[in-house]
Amino acid sequence: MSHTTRIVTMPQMLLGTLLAAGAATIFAVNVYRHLEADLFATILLLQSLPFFSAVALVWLERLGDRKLKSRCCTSGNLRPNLKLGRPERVVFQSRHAPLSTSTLTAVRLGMWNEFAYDAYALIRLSSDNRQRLSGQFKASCFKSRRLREALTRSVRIRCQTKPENDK
Amino acid sequence: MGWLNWFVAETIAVGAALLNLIWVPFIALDKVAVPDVLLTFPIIAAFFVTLVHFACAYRMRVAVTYWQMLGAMIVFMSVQWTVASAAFKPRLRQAKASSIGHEKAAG
Repeated sequence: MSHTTRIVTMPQMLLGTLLAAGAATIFAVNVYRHLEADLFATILLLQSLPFFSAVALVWLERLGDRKLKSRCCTSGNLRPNLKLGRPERVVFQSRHAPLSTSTLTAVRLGMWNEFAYDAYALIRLSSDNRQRLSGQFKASCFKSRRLREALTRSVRIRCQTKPENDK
Repeated sequence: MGWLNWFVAETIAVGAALLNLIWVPFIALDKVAVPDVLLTFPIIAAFFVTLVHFACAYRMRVAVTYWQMLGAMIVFMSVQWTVASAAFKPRLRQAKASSIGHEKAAG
């Protein structure tokens, strides 16, 4: 099963649906409109909210990933794992992608090693610097110290580059 | 120890949701006696007091808009199952291990 179709929040989805279905059933069968039964159904609906919000957040995260993918096309690993220092092959498509708030916060706090999307962030930053970033990157380029230096001094990040049309 | 009440609260919330699910057919088929209206007031009052307490306490500590507060609430709610299962699974494993130990001792 692929990463995009796998339902990672199955228990939450199941429980939330059951609770919502239970609430709908009680609302439907409560023909005499007992306040207590309606209240119980409302409570069931309220209880289903945490489960549905977990599902919603997973879908929101996927939506964000999809947007990132539309900006940056990667081959090899989709999300470059920089903690392990693997060499990644990154092909850059959009040259003027804006920086997200979370990326900027991570830059300011110097949390590059802990930040999950640091590779994407670097690509975005480099796009702001109008740097051509396509081709194969070595993980050493992404070391946090060097990256911070590159960011603070606004110098070019040294890496192996290829022309963009060499995909 | 501050996280303990969070763990316990989330576990109780999930437990209550599961128990309520069991209760649904009894309510739907009218197999339970309907309580007096007066007895439901404390439940409604407790809910609104909790809601107001959350809003006041959160706005006192965090300078955010109501929309951001709602977002924070949704994110907080979304980890309910994760926290509850994290609190519950080790206990299950522990119970299983102790039952195996008892069986070995008996055997």
